Amino acid sequence: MNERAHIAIIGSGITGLSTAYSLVNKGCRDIVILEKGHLSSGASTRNGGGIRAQFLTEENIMLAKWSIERFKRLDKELNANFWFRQGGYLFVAESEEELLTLKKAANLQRGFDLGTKMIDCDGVQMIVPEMICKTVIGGSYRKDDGTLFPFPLLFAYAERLRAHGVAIETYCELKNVERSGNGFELSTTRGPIRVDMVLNAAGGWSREVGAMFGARLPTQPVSHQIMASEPLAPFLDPMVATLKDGFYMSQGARGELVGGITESGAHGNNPGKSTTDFCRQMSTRMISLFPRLSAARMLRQWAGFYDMSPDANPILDEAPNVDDLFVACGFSGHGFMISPAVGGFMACLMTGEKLPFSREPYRLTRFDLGRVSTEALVIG
Amino acid sequence: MPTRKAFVCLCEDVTMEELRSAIHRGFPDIEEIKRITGIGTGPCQGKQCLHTLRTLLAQETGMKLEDIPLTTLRPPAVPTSFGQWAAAKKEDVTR
Repeated sequence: MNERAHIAIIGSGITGLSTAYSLVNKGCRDIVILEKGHLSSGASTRNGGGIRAQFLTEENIMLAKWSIERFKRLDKELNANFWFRQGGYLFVAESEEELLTLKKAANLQRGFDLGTKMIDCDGVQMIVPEMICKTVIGGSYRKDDGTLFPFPLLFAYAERLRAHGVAIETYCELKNVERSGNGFELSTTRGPIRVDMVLNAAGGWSREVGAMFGARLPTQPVSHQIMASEPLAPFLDPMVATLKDGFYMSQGARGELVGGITESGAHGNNPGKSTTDFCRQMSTRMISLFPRLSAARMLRQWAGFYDMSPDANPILDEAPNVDDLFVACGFSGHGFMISPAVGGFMACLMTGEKLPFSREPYRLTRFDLGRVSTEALVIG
Repeated sequence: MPTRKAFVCLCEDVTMEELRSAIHRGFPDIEEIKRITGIGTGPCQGKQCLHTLRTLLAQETGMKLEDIPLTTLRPPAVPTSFGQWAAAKKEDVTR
């Protein structure tokens, strides 16, 4: 491993890779990415691939809208097919209160010209004919939301970055941090490295990594599970999500169903943790909505986590009390879908260029100042 | 190791050549190769192919076979219908 680099990025997840890619495009190539496991071994290789701009805060809507436009061109640019498909995204309400939340979100989204539509039960049935709508009273739908397949995008970023000379050091865990002149002396399990600037993009470990630098981050990993079925004939165009219990499901390009559901009281960032009770809960809800799936089979199941921030909006900032430490964390389950915008934003912040969005709503200090608007549309 | 067109993962049709290509593109890790090629993600969940992949990785990278772990074992052990899962009681599936 080199003993010197201009920028160290902690974490090779989608946030770190996307930011590195934006930095490289600005001509900044002296970058090392430190990853404690295999490439993108945290939430990035464990997520459901949902892409949507339907959110309840302007902060998330802006990042997501910008990112969806970017995803449309990124496949050609990286010469990678990551199966980005705008098959739509349907939120389902089963109570008046849930419907009100969706109405609030749709009203806010109107200002961003997203084309989100409120629909009644018949409208839901038209979009998902296979679903039993007994409990459904309405929903919101946006046809330009959709899904992608995370792995090819991650690996394409990694290959492109390496071709530009960026070092991606896997199985290289950050162990200790010392201030050294204007930079940092980082000790890792694969030796020391001196850098001028650091980006904490450690996802489910962002709080621990922040603490090593003396920066207190209010993030907390919450574990989630997800499953895939055997391939089935195509029947489900949009991603479907329910507000009641965070159930979501989409059908991938090969016919497999991918989905999850909220489990109560699940904490931690251990991706090794799987429970058969998740399989039971998920299957029960799935069959109540799609009875025809009762003979279809679950092929596999896995676990990951959301790096939650207190308001479920991302933290994109330079640490207020530690110069040259930048923070991109707290994505609260939405990191993948907003990663192109986040990468562009962080690269501008780190190089001192003009920012594409206002910095204020993403600042770390918003929690102390009480200037938060909480994102309620967190699914899974 | 057999010829390059040999299938290693019979569920997902992954060949020896695809596995070697992933290793030499800079991803010499069993978890990374699984995600690039889809090896071990079909109905048998790697019960037939992942040991072949470990042996190949050892040959290509010079690592010791015992230092190359398997991927994480997860439920279900065999493909299981959603109806069967839903019919289970909570105490049947929790320890």
